[in-house]
Amino acid sequence: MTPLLRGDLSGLSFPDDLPQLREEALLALREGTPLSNLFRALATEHPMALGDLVVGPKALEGAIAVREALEELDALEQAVPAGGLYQRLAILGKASQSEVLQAAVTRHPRASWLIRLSEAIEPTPGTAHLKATVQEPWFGGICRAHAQAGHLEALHQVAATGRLEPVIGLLAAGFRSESLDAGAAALHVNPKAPLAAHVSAMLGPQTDTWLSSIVSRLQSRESAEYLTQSAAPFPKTFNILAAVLPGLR
Amino acid sequence: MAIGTPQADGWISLRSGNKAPIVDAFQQIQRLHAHLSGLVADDALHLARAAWDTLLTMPRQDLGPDEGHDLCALIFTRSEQHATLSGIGIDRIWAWTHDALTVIAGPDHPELSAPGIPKLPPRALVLEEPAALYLGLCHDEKAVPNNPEEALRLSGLST
Repeated sequence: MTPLLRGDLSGLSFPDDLPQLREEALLALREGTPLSNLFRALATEHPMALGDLVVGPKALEGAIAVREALEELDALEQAVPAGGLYQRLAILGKASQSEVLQAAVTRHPRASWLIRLSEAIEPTPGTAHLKATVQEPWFGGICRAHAQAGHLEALHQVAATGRLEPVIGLLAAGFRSESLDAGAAALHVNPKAPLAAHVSAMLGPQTDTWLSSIVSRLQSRESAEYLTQSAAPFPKTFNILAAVLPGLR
Repeated sequence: MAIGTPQADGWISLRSGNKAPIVDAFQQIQRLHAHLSGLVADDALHLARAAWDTLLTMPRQDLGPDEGHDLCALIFTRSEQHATLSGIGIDRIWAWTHDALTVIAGPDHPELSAPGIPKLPPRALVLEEPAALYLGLCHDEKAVPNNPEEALRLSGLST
C-alpha cells in the first residue's frame, strides 16, 4: 500500500495534484485496496479534494468507491451541496443506490430533493423516505409531498399499516379515489383510527360525501362499526352504514 | 350541520376550539352535534331561538377548551312563514344569489357581535327572500377571500 493510500498526504498540493490522487485511487480500486485511509485523510485535511475525487466531473465510479464516500459524509456535505451530492453518488454506483438513499433519508429527512432522489432510485418511489419518517411529528407533510409527486403505491403501503397521514396527503393532492382506498386499508388494520376526525379537518362540509364513499370499500365489520361511532355528524354516511352493517361479517 | 324538520329546518355552521388537536376537536364536534341534532320547532324563528338556547345552556366544556369564549356561529333557519339568519363572531356574511356572492353584512354591521357565547341569543335577521347559500367569515380569520370562487374554496364547498 502506498503512503497516499495509507492516508499520508504530505507533499501534495491541491488542486494541482488531483490527477495523481485520482490515478492512485483508480489503481487501488482495480486491485481491491481499501480507500478508507485516503478518504479519511482527505476529509480531514482537504475536503474539497475529496469532493472532487468522489463526485466531481471525473469522479471514481462504482459501488465500492461510493460506499467508501458514504463513510465521509460529514466532510463531503461541507464541500458539496447535499442535494447534488446524493444525486451524483446515486449515479456513480448503481449497486449502492439504496445505501445512498438511506443515508440521504437519515441525514436529511425533511429535504425536498429526497422526492426526486427516491424517484431516480426506487422501484416504488417514496418507500424509504416514508418508512424512515413515519414516527416523526411532521410525517403528514412528508406524505403530502410524496402525494403531490404521485407516489401512490408507497403511500398506500404506509396506509395499509394503519396510518392516516397518507390518506390526508392523497386527499390534499387531489387523489380522491386513491385516498378512499388508502383510508379503507388503514381501517382494515386499525379500525379505531380516527379517520372521520382527520378527514373532516381536511374536507369540512364535503366530509360526508367522502366518508359515505368509503363504506363500500370497508373490508371488515369491525371497521364499519367503529366508523359508525364517529359518523353521527354525517347523515349520509351514517345512514349507509346503518343499512350495510347487518350484512357485514 | 342540518337541524329541524321539513316544517322548519336550517343549518348551523360554527367554529369553536379550533386550535385543539384534531381528534379532540372532532370529539367536541360530536358532543355539539349530540346537543343540537334533535332540535325541532314549528317555525324558523322558534327553531333559531331553540338553537341559540341550546348553545347558551349546554355545558361549557362541550364547547371546547376555551369553553365557548372563542365560539363563532352562523345559524340559518327557514319555514313557510320566515327565514332567519343570526350569528356571533362573524365579521362578514355573503349571500349566494343570482349566481353571485354578495356581501350582505360587513364588519360594522350592528348585529354582528364578537366571538363567544353571548348572555342572550343574538337578534335574528328576518329574510324576505332567502339566498341559496350563506357564507360567514369568522372573527380573526386570516384567510379573507377576494372573490366568490375563493370564498367557496376556503369554506370547503369547492376544491
